[in-house]
Amino acid sequence: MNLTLEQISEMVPDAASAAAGKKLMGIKHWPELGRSEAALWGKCQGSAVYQIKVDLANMGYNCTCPSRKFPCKHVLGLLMLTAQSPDAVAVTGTSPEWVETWLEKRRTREEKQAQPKSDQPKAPVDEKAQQRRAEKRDETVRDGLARLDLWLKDLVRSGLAGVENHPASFWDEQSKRLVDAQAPGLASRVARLAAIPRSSPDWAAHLLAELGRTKLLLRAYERLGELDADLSSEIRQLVGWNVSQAELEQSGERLSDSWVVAGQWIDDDERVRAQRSWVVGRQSGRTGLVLQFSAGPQPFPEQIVPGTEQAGTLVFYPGAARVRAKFVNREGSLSSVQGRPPGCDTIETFQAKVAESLARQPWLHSFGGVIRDVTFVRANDAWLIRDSAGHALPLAGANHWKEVAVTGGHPCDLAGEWDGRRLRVLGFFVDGQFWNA
Amino acid sequence: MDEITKIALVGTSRHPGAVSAGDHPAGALLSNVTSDDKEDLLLIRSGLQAVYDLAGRRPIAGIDAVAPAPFETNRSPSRKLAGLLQNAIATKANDLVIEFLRQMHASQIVVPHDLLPELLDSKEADLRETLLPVLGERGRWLSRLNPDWSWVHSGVAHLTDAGQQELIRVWEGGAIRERCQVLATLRRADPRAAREWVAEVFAQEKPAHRVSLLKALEAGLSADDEPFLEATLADRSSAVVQAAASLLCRLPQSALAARMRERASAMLHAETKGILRKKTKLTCTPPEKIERDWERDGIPKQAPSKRGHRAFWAETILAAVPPSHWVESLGQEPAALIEAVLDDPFADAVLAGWTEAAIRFAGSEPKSAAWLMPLWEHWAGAAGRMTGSGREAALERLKGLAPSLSREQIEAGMLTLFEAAPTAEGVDLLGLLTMVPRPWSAKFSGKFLAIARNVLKKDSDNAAYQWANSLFVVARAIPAEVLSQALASWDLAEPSRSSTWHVDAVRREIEKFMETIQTRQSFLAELAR
Repeated sequence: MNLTLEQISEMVPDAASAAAGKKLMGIKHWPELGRSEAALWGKCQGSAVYQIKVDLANMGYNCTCPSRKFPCKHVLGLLMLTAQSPDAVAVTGTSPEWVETWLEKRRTREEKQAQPKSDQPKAPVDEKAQQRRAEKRDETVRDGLARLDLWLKDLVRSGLAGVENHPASFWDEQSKRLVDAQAPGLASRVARLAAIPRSSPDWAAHLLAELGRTKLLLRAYERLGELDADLSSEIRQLVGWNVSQAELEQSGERLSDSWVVAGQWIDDDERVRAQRSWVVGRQSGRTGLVLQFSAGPQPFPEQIVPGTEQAGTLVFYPGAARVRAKFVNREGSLSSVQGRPPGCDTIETFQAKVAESLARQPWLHSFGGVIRDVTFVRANDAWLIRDSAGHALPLAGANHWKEVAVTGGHPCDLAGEWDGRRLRVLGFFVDGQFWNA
Repeated sequence: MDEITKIALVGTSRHPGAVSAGDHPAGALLSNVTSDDKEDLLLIRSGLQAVYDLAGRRPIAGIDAVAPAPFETNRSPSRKLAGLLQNAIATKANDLVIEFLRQMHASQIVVPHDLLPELLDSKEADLRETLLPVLGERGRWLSRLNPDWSWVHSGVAHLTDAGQQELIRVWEGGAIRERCQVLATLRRADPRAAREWVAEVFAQEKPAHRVSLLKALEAGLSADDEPFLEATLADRSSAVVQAAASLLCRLPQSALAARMRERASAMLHAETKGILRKKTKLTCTPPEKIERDWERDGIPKQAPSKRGHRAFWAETILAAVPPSHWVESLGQEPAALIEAVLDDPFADAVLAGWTEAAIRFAGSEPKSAAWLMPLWEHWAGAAGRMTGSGREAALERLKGLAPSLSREQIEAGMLTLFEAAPTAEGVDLLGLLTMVPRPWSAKFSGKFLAIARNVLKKDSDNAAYQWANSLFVVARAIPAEVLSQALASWDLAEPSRSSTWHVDAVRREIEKFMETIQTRQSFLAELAR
């Protein structure tokens, strides 16, 4: 498939790399260039001659340069050159040996990963020790949760007025304690609270709502035994128990479909970057959130490119929400989105879906998806989308002129993430073409 | 604010009563939750209420739809063309962007829609000018939605009511630069109204702003402005007086213009010499001191440092009189008059005054424009004869004259200069290249490239580097038919002594030059497809 410049711009690690990549778009930098059904490759003259390969089945890439940026400027340059002037890259039946070897290695590794883990010889499990460890952790977690409960009660006993003057350490400290108590899920929930004070005129109500939902989570954890398997698994994940690979394989829900990558953004805190990609199944209409993490500037393990479509199987994490998902099997190669993306036809349908998800899992805080046939509107200095029924939702962000310019006030299909207050625009589709926001 | 939030804000310890659900729609559900612990009760109820609210959030109603943009009547660019333009914008190569927009206009192609916001944000007048015809339906539609882009509509000669309202808004609230732009716009549509706007606020503005506002009146200047400007000569600030005088002297019928002509004529005398009395000699006798009424007309009493008072007054007065006046009153052609004054002790002051006057009046009087080339030749000759500060001063005069010359005139003038100093010595001429209007003629481009190739083949020193550096301008200025000629391989001098740095630098410049030319070539090729 051919990526568009819009899609490539979603892959760039930073502005400097994008600029450097653009400089390599000239054909003269590429003494050798070519593509086949499976791959795209080129040699680029830098300080040395580098070999760049792109796996067209899944947009995996590799370059022999020593850069610590992923993708490096050579990969970006090759992709941009191909996007802008496809004719410049001749299609050949065969690819050079250095490309073939690389592709073979990739295929072998992919096959290995696709094999069920149970085939591999395992060290015998000391079940007793495992249970002891689990009990020990459960105890630590319960202690931590009890302390969090006291802290929450203290907050509302002395009153939220004045909380906005607390230093960041006030929240940080509580969050760190939860990390120590092996409840990382709750830890990040508490860390997120720090951003609420002063963030809006009604921040106090907003903060109280989140404190209340946290309280509900503590209450639910106390009664874990009384809940059904899905809900109790969900609550354990929310507190911070990880779902193991084996558990995912065993109890995850598998769904095979043609998956449209509708939109994506990267949540970048100082240490870890979290890539959030919302995918929608063309037949099932099911929405999934594929999360990938990377430390610092390292690349994400998989290339997930907005505006692409991939047939294959997603496995949804066990639990009540069934939103978070992971690709386990890809069929055929990646293609550009085939026609309009599936999604909700009105804002009301989207919000009904939100309500339905909350009924299953009341701690959800973001809802992604596609709303079709909307226009971008600016009213009283605020940005909104408006659907065909005349309903509107407020947008996050101060500048949506590009969206207005590209759509020209005609309806488009929008990929977004709703947090209950504002919709974050992740991208939009016009005549089957993806645009990032 | 609902009941629960109020309690939470003051704190349950300071809230005497029970925690009630208030009139929240989920009240019945909430009152099912009971606990002895007030804090527990408050937190659990607010948690439930939060989920209820989140699930029940309603979309906003009553937002009006925006009328969509009409469909484009002109072609949209190909993906490759759009990419080339986007690159030029991203690398802030404004002159390349301007060139591309011009070409697109010629081929009736509109700007790609996604690039419109960035282009409309541009503050550069030239870019705005070239953008207007390629905005397309989408761009014109879009510009109406954002007040920052009102320049698209407010620049037109016939103002609509809405346009006028917009101008008034900026005039009343804008920064001085914006206000001057508004004034210049209004001047084109309604010069009288613009003058009245200025007159109304003039006394309250600070001197620097008074000067700026006067300068903005230059657009659409006419005899109708004389009373206001003449009154302004009484201003306390000498800078304001000079600005007003400078406008008045451009109105040939004005009283100030007549006073200036009188003062100038009193200074300059011609006598004929030689057997046939055909040779004229001009003498300049500036006054020893000036009267109060001279100062009132904006002639400074004090010369700038290092200038003689008398020479300075001569230059100032002569600069205020259209040079055509001398051809009429002395009956000689410009070249002859220049020749005639050369031996006078005040020759430099006279020539400087004439040069300024020629520049000032060339636009409005063809007879004064006839002085431009003879003056150019005089200063070009002076630059060739002199070195050091003399040459620098002469080059400054040439730079001053260049914008008033037609492309043919300046190209011819530049070639003479370059051919007189074909190598390293010509380095200081390179600054003049930006003055040649673009695109250059094929003939001039070809000759310039030949000279540059010659220099770079011979030398690899600092001067050669300066020449290579000037190719930045050349790459954007030469016309389409010379592009392939520019791409022919460049034969560069071998490194001599210690100048490998220069060789590398020259090579880099040539590379950049070739890259720009190739980008332009691919743009043109794509356009032609």
